[in-house]
Amino acid sequence: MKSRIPLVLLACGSFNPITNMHMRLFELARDHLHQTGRYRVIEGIISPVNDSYGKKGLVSARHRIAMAQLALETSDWIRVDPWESEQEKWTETVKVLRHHYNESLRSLQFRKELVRNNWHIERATEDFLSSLDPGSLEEQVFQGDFAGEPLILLNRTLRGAHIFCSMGRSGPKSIIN
Amino acid sequence: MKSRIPLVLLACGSFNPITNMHMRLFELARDHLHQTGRYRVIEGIISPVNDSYGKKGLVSARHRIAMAQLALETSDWIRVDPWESEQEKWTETVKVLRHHYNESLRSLQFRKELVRNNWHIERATEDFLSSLDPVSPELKLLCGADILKTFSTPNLWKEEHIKEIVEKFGLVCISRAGSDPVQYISESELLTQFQHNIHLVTEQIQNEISATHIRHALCKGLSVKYLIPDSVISYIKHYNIYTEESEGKIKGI
Repeated sequence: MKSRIPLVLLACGSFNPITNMHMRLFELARDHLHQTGRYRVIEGIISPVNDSYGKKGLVSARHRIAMAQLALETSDWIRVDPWESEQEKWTETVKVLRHHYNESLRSLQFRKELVRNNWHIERATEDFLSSLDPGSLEEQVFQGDFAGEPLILLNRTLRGAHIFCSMGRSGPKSIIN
Repeated sequence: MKSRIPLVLLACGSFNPITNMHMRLFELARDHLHQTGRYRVIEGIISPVNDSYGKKGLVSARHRIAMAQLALETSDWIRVDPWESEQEKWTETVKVLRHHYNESLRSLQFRKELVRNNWHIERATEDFLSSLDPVSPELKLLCGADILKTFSTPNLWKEEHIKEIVEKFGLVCISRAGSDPVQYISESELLTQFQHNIHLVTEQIQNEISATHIRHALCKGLSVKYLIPDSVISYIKHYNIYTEESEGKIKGI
């Protein structure tokens, strides 16, 4: 598996209401970025604007968030985030970007901590492992390696077996012991 | 309640596959006809073309009918009819119109008989009673304005068929903002003569979903979500149609 850069797409706007076109933008963007071979789109975020933006005809954020949630029920990668709409006043786009960027770093940090401390991890699926981004895992890999391959130990007992997973350059492999 | 003329809309085409745009045509047409105050649209019919039409890349009617059924599950007035696809060979549009017109007359006749004989009727709602209008329903061909243009293509349509379509039945043509279907009408004596029976509807919302682009996208593994219903996407994946491989097979015939 090539090492693609994990990427999150953020769309700001009124979403008054959300439409099929809004969601098409995400699908088109993801296809395009994947075709460059350089990225792996891991998430899409819709961020409806704050009510205090004051645009004529803007219905309450409560409704705009709810409608977006309904529209995105059948999407497995796009979600709506209420942070921007919950702020006291209108937030400039760059601040929304900063917020969500920090959130994604925090989320990655959390998952790294789990692995570093050998904590139980709910689902040691290939998706999860690949979401730990091989690129950034290298720094902790030196804490342990086994037969020349970097090793992450997941203390998950699945049907009585311990699962050892290795995250090598060739991708995740699970060895059930 | 004013006495509006009951109207059935019929759309012929490949529906290869059905898309959100196809279904939008019906919604736009119904709104427009209702706003004239003269009509009450009682039904919409999608009639996928017969396999023997022989168009390149046309998947089996069995699939096209099934996908249309899935797509129309949430519609309470549009349905798909397999009659045209079940005929032995390709059927000219005017014959499809005649068939469905006769069917709607038969259905009206049946309901009148029920009332006349005072038979028990499940739901004697106002809707039902008003549907027993003494006026026979009209059946109109629903199409894009590009079909109007094809009327002037030599040898594509029989002159007498065009006449029957616009005189006896009528057209509802949806065109994109910016195009000018009035021109197609004025260029044809026949269409000009029956222009009162050609309803032009302009689609203000940009809706460029073409089934051809959908098929190309599917072949390339690109997303068509939000352009066609999720249920149709699942069907296509399940039966493995519109893939590079399956398109190749069809081309090879």
